[in-house]
Amino acid sequence: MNGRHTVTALLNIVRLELRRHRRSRGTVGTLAGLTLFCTFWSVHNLSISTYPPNASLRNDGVFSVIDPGQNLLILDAATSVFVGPLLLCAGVLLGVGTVTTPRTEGTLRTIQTFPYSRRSVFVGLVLSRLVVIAVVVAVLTICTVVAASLAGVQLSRAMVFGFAVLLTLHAAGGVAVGAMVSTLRSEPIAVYLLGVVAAVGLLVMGGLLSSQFMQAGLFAPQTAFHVALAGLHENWTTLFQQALADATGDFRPLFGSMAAGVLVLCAWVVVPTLLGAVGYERWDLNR
Amino acid sequence: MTDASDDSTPAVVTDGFTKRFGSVTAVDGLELTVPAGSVYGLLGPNGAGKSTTIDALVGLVHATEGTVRVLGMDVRTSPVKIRRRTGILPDGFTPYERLTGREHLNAAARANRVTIDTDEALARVGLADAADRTAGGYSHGMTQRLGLAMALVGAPDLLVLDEPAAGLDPHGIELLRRIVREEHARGATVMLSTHQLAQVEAVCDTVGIIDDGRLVAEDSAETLRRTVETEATLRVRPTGSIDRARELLRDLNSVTGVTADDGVLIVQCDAEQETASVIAALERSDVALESYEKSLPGLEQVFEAYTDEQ
Repeated sequence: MNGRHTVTALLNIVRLELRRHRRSRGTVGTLAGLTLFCTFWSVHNLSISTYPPNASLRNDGVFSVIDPGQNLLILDAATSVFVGPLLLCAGVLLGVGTVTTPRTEGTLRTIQTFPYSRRSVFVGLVLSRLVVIAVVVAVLTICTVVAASLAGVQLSRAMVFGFAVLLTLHAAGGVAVGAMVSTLRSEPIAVYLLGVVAAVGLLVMGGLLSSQFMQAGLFAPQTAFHVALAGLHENWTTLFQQALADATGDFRPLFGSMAAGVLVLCAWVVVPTLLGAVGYERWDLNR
Repeated sequence: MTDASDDSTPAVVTDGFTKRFGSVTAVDGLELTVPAGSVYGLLGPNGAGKSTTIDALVGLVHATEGTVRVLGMDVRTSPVKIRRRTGILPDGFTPYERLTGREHLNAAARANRVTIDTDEALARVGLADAADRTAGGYSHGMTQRLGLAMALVGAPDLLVLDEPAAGLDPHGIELLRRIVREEHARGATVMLSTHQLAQVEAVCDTVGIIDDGRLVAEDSAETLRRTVETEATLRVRPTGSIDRARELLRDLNSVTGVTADDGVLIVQCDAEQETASVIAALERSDVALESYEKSLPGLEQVFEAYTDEQ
């Protein structure tokens, strides 16, 4: 009975928040801009229209896809610095507004006067933002597929779906981290600064730290994302290794299975959300 | 929404409720009891701790010390059950700007798991014509009315209104009083927190005065007036010589001032308790009284007496 009530509460809160997001010109404009930018960069980076029909993969410092037949369009989009990391950072900043924005507006007190538990309200707010990021990824994916199709590049549906799901999970980790950060302080400027620090921290963990300590890299969302993606295609592990080789050209072996990568991505969503919910439950929502 | 199950259980009980925000003590050892089925007015100056107390009742803030029980349940352990039976209009209620009034009520109805006629609910608070306008375009008074409508969804057992008259015009204030009386007649307990004494005097049968985070007085408005040694006014119409009556009154120690107004003597007594002795003194003398009328100290004077003395 309590479980059913909690689910109903979550659905009601998500519904309320999505309606608010959908009608917010700021939210829609920002997300539309983000989606278009990511889509443009993915397609532009490939220069699909210049491909010869029998080209092959090459990594000479610029990871360029020259064999469209291997679904490498998706691979390139996934490893593009302006898609994966940008969406991760955008997720963090979207998540930072989870509690901060409604608290500043005053609507947090309003929704908390409803018979919803603190935990339900927080998780519902996070879920609504996850839906928003999923919509962004879906639009990005559709635009990429359409662009590829127009250029005569055929993409596997399984690859496209797998990529979209994993990219959503990747960005969702950023949202969850941002949501947790939003419960650390009540002053908006402090929260957004902490959000920027968190976003940079996640990127550093996945980049600099993982290049020095491979084990640390496994727990970074960026690395877990690549590990999980590599499992989508039997040839992709090697391609990822080539793409992510360090400056000397030495491969940094990807380790862990796809399942491990997915597990780490899920942990990056669940753990910060739970920590944030615990923090939010202790808050005072006075004016 | 269930009916009030036990009339003997107070609607609200605070036992040593203390709330500190850092080094600031907003509420200090508050011992408050709101009888079930009453209309309780919580009075206090700005910064007295009224809103903090209200926020604690509905779980918006957590008590630092002490307990808060609402409808027989501890706020710490049963906040959702309490809010399911409580309608709340918080101080500074803020609606969702992009949602219409109707959508707000539907959200409240879904949250309370009830079905309502949104047209009827909005008409009750005078928002029928603005039902499908987004709340961002509402005036302050309309926003308050919307908040009131949301608080009334589901016929709550306890209605908690924090500064409900803020932003309301005279029509809105009259509507608020009517709704409070209707809810009281239905059997609900109404608790309203305000610094506007007129609202309390008009509808409340029990008044609690809070100052510096402490309850300094709690009783019926009538009793509070009688316990405070503030000036009372007698309007005396003597049948005989008005000058003789005035002369007699000026000789009495408890009379602080006498003025004449169209055959009526307006007598200022230094305390409500002294009015009886003033009348008795007049009746013992050769001055006959046609009529007399006593004006008790207003709640404002009661309020000032209790909040100034601390």
